[in-house]
Amino acid sequence: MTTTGGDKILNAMLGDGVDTATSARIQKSCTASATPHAGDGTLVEVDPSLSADADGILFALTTATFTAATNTSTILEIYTGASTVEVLWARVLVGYRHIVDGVSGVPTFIPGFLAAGTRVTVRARSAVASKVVNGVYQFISANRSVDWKAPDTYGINTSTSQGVTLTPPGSLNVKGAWTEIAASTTKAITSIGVTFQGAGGNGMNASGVSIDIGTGANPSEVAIISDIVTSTNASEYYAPRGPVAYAVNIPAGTRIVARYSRANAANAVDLVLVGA
Amino acid sequence: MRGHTTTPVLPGRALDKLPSNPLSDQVGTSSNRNTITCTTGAAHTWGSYVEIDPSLSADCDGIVINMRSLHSAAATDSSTLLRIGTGPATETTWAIIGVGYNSYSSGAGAACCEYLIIPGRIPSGTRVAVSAQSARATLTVAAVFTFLASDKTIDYVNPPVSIGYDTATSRGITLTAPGSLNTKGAWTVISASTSAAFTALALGFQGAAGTNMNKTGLLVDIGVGPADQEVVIIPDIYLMANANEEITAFSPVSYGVNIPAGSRLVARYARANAGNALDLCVVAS
Repeated sequence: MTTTGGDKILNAMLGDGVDTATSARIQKSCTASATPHAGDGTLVEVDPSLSADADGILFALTTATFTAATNTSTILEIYTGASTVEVLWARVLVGYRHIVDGVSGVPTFIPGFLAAGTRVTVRARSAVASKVVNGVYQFISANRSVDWKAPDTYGINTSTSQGVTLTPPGSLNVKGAWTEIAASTTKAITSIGVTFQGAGGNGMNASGVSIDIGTGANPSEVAIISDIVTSTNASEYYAPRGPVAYAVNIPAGTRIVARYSRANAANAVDLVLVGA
Repeated sequence: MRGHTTTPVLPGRALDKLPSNPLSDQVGTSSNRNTITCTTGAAHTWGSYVEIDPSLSADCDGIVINMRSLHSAAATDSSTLLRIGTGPATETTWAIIGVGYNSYSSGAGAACCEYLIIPGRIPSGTRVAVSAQSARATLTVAAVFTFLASDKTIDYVNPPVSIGYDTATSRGITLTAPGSLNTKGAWTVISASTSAAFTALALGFQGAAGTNMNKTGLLVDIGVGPADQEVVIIPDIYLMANANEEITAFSPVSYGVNIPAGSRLVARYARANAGNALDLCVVAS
């Protein structure tokens, strides 16, 4: 059985969130708690009612989240449902991110099904008190050719606003040992969003990091997504060089792992996966 | 087919969702992927091909292009075309797309705001090269090229179909300027009749040789259908222009579609400032 996906390119976006008065898509801003890592930031409504079924959210930052010499670990939490009874839908990492001219580097894609009429809200939690996360949320139209479900988030650590810290490689530019992200996936996964940060680091170096995602039991892991390359920067940010969401074919009950190489020992990685 | 249900694909909608895993080709020795640099010739003249990959390690179904050079400058027409070629020297053109008027943060850890996925199949063992031409002579064009593994569940073609590029101006097709701010303009024909069925499009937006852009938004629709019956298949692609003649996108400008052969392919846009205009090249597979 192949573990690669049958899919290629995102479908079109829904018209939700379009501001025809300014020829733009509306930015939303949420502010994390005044207490680092606390999950009591205010929920901000992104969409009161989806106009059609959606197969995922494309999130483009519009304000940088990195700060030099600072741990900017930040989680974006996405909820669905009516006010006061929102239900957590997915969590992704959005700290340590750079933007150019008001637009994020490679946008974060969160795969997963959202039914028409769903209300969507977001909030942030962060190592930085009152961290502001600004961005544009675009919903990808569902075509029902891919049987996506509600997503599962793997690897989140709300107490640190990080994901799973990957095992540091023993040598420069050599992949480190595999780190377990999920001992056993709860259901089959056909798409996976890969989000990562700097593992709480505050002394990064401008060089490269290359991440593999794998599956399989120890010590028989196999890479299924190889060399997701990102440049790093001494101001504590990552800038991916391509997509950070991929089609996969992972059965339920699968162990998921990740590893990385780095060109400088100052750079580290924590990682969260969202599978649907 | 893995992961697919038997529910019919909606008209104009894609069968596809996400890229497949990248091939190991062009993985560098410094935990990176190699940056390939070429130089344009005289104005609107192709520069020499530069080899990207001497021999693909496996079949590929698309190339991710992440620019690593700035092809924009204030008050300057930076229209630039990127050409992918395959085969030995005297390469055969595989695809041509517009890459001028881009946004890029130079320096260490440099980042580009967006990436393109050029859809199309390239067989294992193929040599791949790149060249560029521009309104600006001897412009440096650099990028990371990542080849996506072919899983053969999508019938991409070799080569893909390049639509709308104009080597005389290094531009694509200039879209009809809207008559009013923040109102979609008239549809502009990109292809009167598509030469094949398409399941994926890559869109190369540039500034229509503009030299007086403004930091405001643009919303682009892609549609299909005969005149006066056009139907939007990709709505409101959000772009942001700025006064340095840069255009950045809030999403990957490559989309899955479901367009039959013989379709009339069109585009239109709205803008918040009359200083901003668009031209468009398309690569389809």
